[in-house]
Amino acid sequence: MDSGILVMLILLGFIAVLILAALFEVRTVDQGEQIVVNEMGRVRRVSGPGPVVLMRGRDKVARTIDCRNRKKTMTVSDYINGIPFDYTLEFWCRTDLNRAAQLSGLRLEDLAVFDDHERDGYVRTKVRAALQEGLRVLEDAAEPAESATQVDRLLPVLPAVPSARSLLSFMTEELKQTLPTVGVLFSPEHPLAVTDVRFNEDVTGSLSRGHVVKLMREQFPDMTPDMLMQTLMSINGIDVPKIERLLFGAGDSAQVGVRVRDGEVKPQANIYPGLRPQRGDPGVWDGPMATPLPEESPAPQPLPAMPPPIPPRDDNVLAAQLEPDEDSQVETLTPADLAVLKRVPLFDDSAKAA
Amino acid sequence: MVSPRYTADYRKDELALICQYAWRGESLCFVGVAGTGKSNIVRILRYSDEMKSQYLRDNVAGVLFPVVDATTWDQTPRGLLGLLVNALDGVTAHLPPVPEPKVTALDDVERTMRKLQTELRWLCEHHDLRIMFILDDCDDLLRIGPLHMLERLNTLRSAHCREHLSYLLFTKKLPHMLGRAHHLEEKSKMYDLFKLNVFALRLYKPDDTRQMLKHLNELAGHPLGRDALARVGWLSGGHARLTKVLFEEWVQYPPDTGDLVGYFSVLPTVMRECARLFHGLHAQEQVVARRLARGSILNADQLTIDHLIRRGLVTIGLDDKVTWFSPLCENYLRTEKG
Repeated sequence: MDSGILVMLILLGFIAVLILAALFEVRTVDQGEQIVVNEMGRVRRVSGPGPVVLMRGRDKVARTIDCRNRKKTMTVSDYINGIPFDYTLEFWCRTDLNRAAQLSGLRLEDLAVFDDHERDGYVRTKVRAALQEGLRVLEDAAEPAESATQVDRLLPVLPAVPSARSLLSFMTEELKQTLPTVGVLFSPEHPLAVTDVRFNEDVTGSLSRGHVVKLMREQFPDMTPDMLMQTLMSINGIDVPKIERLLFGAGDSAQVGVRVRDGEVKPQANIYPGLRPQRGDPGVWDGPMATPLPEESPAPQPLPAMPPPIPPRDDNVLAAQLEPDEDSQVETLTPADLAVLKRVPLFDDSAKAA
Repeated sequence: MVSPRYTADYRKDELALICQYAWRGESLCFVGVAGTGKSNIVRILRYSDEMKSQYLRDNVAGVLFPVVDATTWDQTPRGLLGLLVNALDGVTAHLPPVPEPKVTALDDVERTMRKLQTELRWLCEHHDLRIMFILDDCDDLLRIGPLHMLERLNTLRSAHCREHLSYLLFTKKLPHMLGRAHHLEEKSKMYDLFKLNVFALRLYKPDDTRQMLKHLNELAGHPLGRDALARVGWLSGGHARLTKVLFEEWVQYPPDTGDLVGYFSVLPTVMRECARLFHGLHAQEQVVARRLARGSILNADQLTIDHLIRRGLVTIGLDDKVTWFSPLCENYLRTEKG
């Protein structure tokens, strides 16, 4: 008897196992991962790591989520005091949909529909928003003076400067609040850090050029702004053929220069009529100055043509014959136009000298 | 001995303002109708240290007022720069010569520009002088431009001269309206220098008119009595050139009728003066002026009338009646065709 019951029980147990095995499966989720389980197409739960029981035919693993605590490096662009810059930020975070749903008050199913790649994009958006808000707070707190240099304007975001540190603190608090809304938790044990700051070429170029100009001014205090500019252009590798004229000092009788075009150097001289230049005048060619210029030397460029002169108004015409001003027929004075004119303030007689 | 042409208080509000701005290196513009006596202001600023000392005190020698008569401008950039150089040379003749620029440009305009910049820098930095260029009658300058030529005037105010160099412009019309064709208001840094300091150059105050008539009468040998002088002042309404014209006409052809307005209104010299004044106004000002004289103003004219009051061309009487500054001009407007 006992053996029969035992066999029955074993058989029943075996059949139960077969039935359970037919109905359910056990999925093993690795450490550092979770799975999103959909039931009949809708997100039911997020489970793992470890063994996860799924009902065949009903439950389906929609996606696997990487929930490791990972370092993220992002480069974000923004402006400080009107100057563009790039911040490369480093921070740690992990995806924990259950906890994020609790913290943010959002539904789990709303957070679980995105895969890791999509979620990374949302994290970048949140980081950028935190930076924008932080910069706005910085700029509101201390507006630079009108005379502030580019360096002054960039100072608040340079790493290790107190304002930059407070910017990072602000961003940290912001991210703690906003990252859960995309299913991510900020890891405070690894503080937010700036690993690189970059400015665009215009800014670095101007800072570098400014430094060069400063050095040159110290070395050559008598150099005029035009010579300084021409020299700077040469240093920066501007094609010399593009500089068409180099200017020399000369006496009153002649102006001497060099025109460079397409790599060919052509002398040029302007001689004032009635004044004969003498040998020894600075910059004068050592040759007969009375000879005309070589034919291939181009004439100096004329000034741009002026519009035809407006004939002066004849004030000596009798009133009955005067025509209304042509311009005046099309003018309309708006209130803004009329408001331009002010009264002369009265002078305080007591301020006058005795 | 003939009474002085000007009292000590002549145009004191205007002169004090100009001197204050010149000292601070700030620019301004006066808008005034033709014949308001702005040439006298220019003459005082250029030549009368005594008058200027009331406002500049011990700093008279430290402020120069080179004058550019913009009516002599040849409508070229080179011409304008040349006028500035000549004006500056005129007020610095007593100073040591300026060192020549080390590099001489080939281009005429550039050469003149550099000469001017070198001189200004020398005067501002080495001599610590304030310089206010007076651009007299510069309506055509602003209207014709071109814009880049006007911007050179701002360029002269480099880092070395910024608080030492300024401009005083005299125009007959609003400067931004004159330069509308090349977007002076939107694009010009030169306009930015004075856009908040555009003042109305009003007509003479009664004291200045009386002094002018007294001076003219004494020069002519006292042909007119006090009563006649007062009537001339009333007819001219403080317009300097009209005052002079009326005085001369009265001396030459004394009126033989009590209808002074009717008598003088038809004289060609008076009509010419009224026409010059009238046609120097903006079109809208002319239209409203006509309507005002003919007693047919509209509600929409109120802002323009306020503007004309600011210019001193329209006054409000004790009975709140709005009238022209001069009964002669009012009569001219009433009968002027248009």
